[in-house]
Amino acid sequence: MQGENPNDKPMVKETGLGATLSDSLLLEQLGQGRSSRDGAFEEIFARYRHLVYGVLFRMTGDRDEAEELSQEVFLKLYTHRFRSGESHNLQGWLYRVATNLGFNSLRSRQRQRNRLDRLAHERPEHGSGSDPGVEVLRQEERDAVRQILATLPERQAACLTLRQMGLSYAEIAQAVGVSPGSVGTLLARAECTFKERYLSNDKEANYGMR
Amino acid sequence: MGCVDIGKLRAFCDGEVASGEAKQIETHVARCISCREQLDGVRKAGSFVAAKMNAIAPLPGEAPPGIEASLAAIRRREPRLATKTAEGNTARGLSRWIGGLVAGATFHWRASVAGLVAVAVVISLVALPPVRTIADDLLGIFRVQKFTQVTLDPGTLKNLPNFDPSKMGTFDGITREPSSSTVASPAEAAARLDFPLRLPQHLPAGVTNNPKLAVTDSFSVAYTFDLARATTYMASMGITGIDLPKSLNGQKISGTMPVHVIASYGEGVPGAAMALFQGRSPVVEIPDGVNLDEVFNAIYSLPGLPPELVVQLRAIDWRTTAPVPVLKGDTSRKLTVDGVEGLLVRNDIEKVTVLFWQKDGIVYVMAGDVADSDLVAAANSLK
Repeated sequence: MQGENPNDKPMVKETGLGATLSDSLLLEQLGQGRSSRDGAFEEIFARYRHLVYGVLFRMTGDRDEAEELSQEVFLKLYTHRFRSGESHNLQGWLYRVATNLGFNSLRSRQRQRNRLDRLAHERPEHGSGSDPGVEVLRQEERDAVRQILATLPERQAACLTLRQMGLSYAEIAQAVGVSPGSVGTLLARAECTFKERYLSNDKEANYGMR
Repeated sequence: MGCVDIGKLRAFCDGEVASGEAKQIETHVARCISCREQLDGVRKAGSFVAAKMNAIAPLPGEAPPGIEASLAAIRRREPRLATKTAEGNTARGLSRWIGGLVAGATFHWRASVAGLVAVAVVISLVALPPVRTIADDLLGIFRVQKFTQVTLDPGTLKNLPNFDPSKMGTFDGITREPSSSTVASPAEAAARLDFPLRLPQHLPAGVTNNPKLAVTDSFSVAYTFDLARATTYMASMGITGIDLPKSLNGQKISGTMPVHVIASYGEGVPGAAMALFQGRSPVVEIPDGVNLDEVFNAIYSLPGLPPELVVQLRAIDWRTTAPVPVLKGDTSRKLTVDGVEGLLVRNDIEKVTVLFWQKDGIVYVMAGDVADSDLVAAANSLK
């Protein structure tokens, strides 16, 4: 099965050698009887949970929420029935579900923030670092980045997040559901808009303070 | 070649176009002002956004909870998932552990980095879930020259509180995950290393000689311990009676993981998979004035640490020696490998063997689901 299609080749980042079973074999087992299914599920979980959590933390900025949504992703996997004969790409599937949940949370968080903003001038959350000034700045920067991500089209936000995680264009393409040739265009557009909005927010913020 | 569209230019910046095409783009851009300007814009926007995006990557204190805790939560939400036996967990733990170690911690790197820090090394060493975290650190304090085994029964670590080093100090100096990339050939890998790349000349039967080579660039992190916050944190965890290391207060400890490479053979092929990690030892720098005895005594007096583990940890010379956890059911032995003393750990359930050794300042970890003797023979054939 493996080797026929280069896209089938799993990028095993977490387990490397420890992963003696290929992703496609695990997926096959996931579709089988209960005991092999549960074993396969846990192996997949061990293999990919850091990737999934990584996506969700970046998008939500909240450990608890990232963890809860990660569980959601794997619960979806457990109940998802991959069509037999379908050329699955497990990693791409997981990234797709994760970025989708992450983006929804990012959006709804943004809506919430906008409501709050109208009610009161929001204070940035204080971190717990020894230098509160630095922590506040870091938190502000993180908030600003997520705020802008929320305004981008979902695919573009996903591209930026996955690229930051060091994924190749081929991997991003699988996760986002486009051809590898379109990733460059998506990234370039996303970066251009991101930069524009970030700089104009900065300007507004400075203007407002003075 | 005509003008280059923006998506191609973006891919060109990331080295994501075929080399022939890249040459064409280069030639064209050299002649075409508008493409040159556009390329410049794409580059600038790219690096601007990359810098901003790096800010939202998780910091060491922001890692997910332990795997068993996560799985338990998933099982609560999906009752159809059976609860596994403890034995099963141990076996899987080892597999993950070896994998994490050999895979060079691309995604475990934060845990590894935390492990670079003196305090965190031992805390994460004994934190739950035991096996995986420990093994994430193939790091010792200062510099790894040799490996020693630490026998561990994961069951005895259940009562250990889950410590979060970020509540006792500040991590800084990390802005991004280390970039790990697959390279096309040994020559390309060698060009990125500051030591000679060595690969096995004899592989175990059935293992195909077509290694996937992944190089991870050097990265580092620093941690500053804050006595006052640590005191508050310990109190909030209900832990009393520990003399926190006063000499560590406000001191910045830094750790560096130098450039390293992992060659994987036959990935995903049961019974014929093998991987080799090689790189200079991770280095931890601790400022003068820190009393290490004080630091270690504080760690060893943490509640929940099994006394038999403390005895073993106390015997380790952290400046030169990295602990390798050996679980109940594993076998381990010292042996001569690659002309030096090494350590071999075998898990019969997973049928995986791992070899650890250090030669000429380079740390090697080789693992395979092949026979011990075959793995040793492959290690002895490095060239």
